Amino acid sequence: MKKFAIILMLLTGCRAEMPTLNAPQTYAADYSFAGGFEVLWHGLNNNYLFWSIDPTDWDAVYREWQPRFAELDEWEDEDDAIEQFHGYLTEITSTLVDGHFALLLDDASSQVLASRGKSGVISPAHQRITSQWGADADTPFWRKYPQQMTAAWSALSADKRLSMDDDSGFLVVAINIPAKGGVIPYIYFSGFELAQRYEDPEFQEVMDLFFTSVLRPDARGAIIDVRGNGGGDIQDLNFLMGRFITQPLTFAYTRGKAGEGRLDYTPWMPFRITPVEGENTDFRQPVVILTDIGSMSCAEMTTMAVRALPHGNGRSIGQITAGGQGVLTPNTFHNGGQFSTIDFILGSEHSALIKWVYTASVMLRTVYDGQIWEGKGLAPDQQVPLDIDMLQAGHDSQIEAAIRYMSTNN
Amino acid sequence: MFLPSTAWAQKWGVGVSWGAAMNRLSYTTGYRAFSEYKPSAGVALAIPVRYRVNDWLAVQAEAGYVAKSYRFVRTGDYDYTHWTTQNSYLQLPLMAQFSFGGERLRGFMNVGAFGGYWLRSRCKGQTKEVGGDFIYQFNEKIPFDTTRDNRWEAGGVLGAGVSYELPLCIVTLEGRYYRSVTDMQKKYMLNRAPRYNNTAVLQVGALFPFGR
Repeated sequence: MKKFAIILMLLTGCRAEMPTLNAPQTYAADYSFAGGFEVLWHGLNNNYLFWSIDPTDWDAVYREWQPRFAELDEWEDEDDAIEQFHGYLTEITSTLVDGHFALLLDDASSQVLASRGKSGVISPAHQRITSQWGADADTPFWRKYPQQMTAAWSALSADKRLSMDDDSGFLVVAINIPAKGGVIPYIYFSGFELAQRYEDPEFQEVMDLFFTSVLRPDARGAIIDVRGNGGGDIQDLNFLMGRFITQPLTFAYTRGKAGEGRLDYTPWMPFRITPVEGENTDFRQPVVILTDIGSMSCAEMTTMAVRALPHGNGRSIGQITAGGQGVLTPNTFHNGGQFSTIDFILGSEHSALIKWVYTASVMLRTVYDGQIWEGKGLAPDQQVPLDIDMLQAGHDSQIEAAIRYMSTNN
Repeated sequence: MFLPSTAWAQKWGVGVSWGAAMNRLSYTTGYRAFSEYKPSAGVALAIPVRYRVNDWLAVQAEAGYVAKSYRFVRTGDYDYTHWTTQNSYLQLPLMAQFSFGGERLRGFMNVGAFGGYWLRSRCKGQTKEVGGDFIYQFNEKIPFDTTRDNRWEAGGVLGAGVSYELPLCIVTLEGRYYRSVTDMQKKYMLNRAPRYNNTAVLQVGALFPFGR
C-alpha cells in the first residue's frame, strides 16, 4: 500500500506551489518603505535583463535588506526615513550593470531629498562614471569648453555648418575637412534626434552637408563624433548609418526576456541597419567614430555599427564609452525592462515611494567580438585622450588623431 | 479472470513502441499581458521490457525518448512573436501492469513512476527585430545553463490500453500520462515560478514474449 501511496503522490501532488507573480505596483499599495522595497525587488526579479552578467546577489539583497527597509516604517521622523530609504536604495543597486538603470522616487520624497541636497533619481552608472571620471564626466565636452571647441571646429575648415537649438541645447555640426585629393566629411551631434529634427530646414542643411559629402567620389573617409552623446531614438541608426551600406548590416545581436526566471532569455537575434535607398553608397573609405565616457546607448550602438562595417573600414578613436547599450521599450513589448508604479487611474499622487524604474528591455552583444559590454563600455580601437592644453589652443586632439588615421590609411 | 493464452503466459517480453506526445507546461505568465503558453506535439519512442508476475500482474520498464515541447505565443498587437521550445528527454518509466480480459484481446492499466534526463532543447519561432519591422525567424539549439536548468526529471505515470495477441507478438494501443514533479529549473532564485511537464502519449507497440 505504501508503494501505491507513493505512486499516487507522484501523480497528484509533490509539486511546489506556484508563486503569485504580481505586477510591481501591487506591492506599493500602502505607501510604506517596506512596500517600496518590495516594488523594486520583485520588479527587478522578473523584469531586469542582465542577471546573466550581473554580480549582484539579488536573493541576498532580499534576505539582508528587507528587514532593514521594514524598520524604516517605525521611524518617527519621516524625512529622516526618506533620506535613509534613498541611502539604502543607492547601496543595494550600486552594482547593477545596466547602464540605463535609474530609480525615480516619487515627487514628495524627491522634494525632501532636494532639501537635503540629494537627488530623487538614483543612477548607479552615473555614480560609477562620476566617481571614476570626475563630477562633470557626463557633461558634453563642448559644453565644458564651448569657446575652445568652436575654435577647434572652425580651424578644421571654412566649409562648416552649425545648428543650435537654444531651448534644448541640441547641437549639430557638419564640416568638410580638406584632405589630400578630397574631403573628409565630419559630423557632431549631441543626441540621437536626427530623423525627427530633419524636418527643420536649418537642421536639414547641416545634415545634408554631411550626407551629400559622404556620397562624393572624393570623400576620403568620414568622421562621426558621438563624444558626450547620451543616445536617443534608435531609428537614427538607419537614418545615419544607412548611408554607408548597400545591403542590410547586422551590427549586433539582441535578446530579451523569455519567461519570469532571471535567466530566461530569447535566442540572440540580429540587430540590423538597413540602407537609406537612393542616398547611400558602398562606402569603402575609413570611417572613424569618436567616443568618450559620455557616449552611451545609441552612441554605443553606432560605435558597434561602425566597427561592423562590411569592408572592415570602421574604427573607434577616443576613450571608453559609458556602457549602457540596452534598448528601452515599454515593458509589454518584450515582457521585461522598465516598469512604473504610477496608478494611471488614480494619478501619479497615488504612486509608490518609487514611481519609476528605468531599465533596459533588450540587451546587445557585438558582432565584432561577440561580447556583451553592458556596464563596461566599448574600449576604442585607438585610445586618444582629449588633450585639454591642445584644446585651449584651439585644437582637438581626438579629431586630429582621426584625420591622421585617415591620411595613413588612404 | 481467464487464463492467459500462450503469449501472455510467457514470463518475459521485449518490444518496441512509438507514438505521438502532447506536452503542456505547468507555468505562469504572471501579470504579463498578451502572453500564453500552449501545448505542443512531438514523438515518443520506447523499448518496453515486461516481466509477468502472474496472470493479471506484470512489471514493465520502458526506456525511451519523448519530446516534451511547448509553445509560447504573444497575442493582440504582438502576435508576430511565437516560438516552440522543443525539449527532448530520455526516460525510464517503471510500472505495474494490471491486465484483464480474454485470451487474445485484453485490457490493461499501467501505474508507476518515471525518471528522465533532459537531452537537448531547440527553439523554433519568430519575432520582430528591435526597432524595425523585419520578422526574424529562428530555429536553433538552446544551450543548457548549468545555473538554471535542472536536467533530471521524475514523476508519476498512468496508462490504459488494450492488447491483442498475434502468433508472434502482442500488439498494444495505449494512452499514457506522465506528470513530472521536478521543476525544470534549479533553485537558483527566490520567488521562482516552477515549470513542470505534463505529457500525454498515444502509442502503439509490439511486444515479443519469451521465456517460461
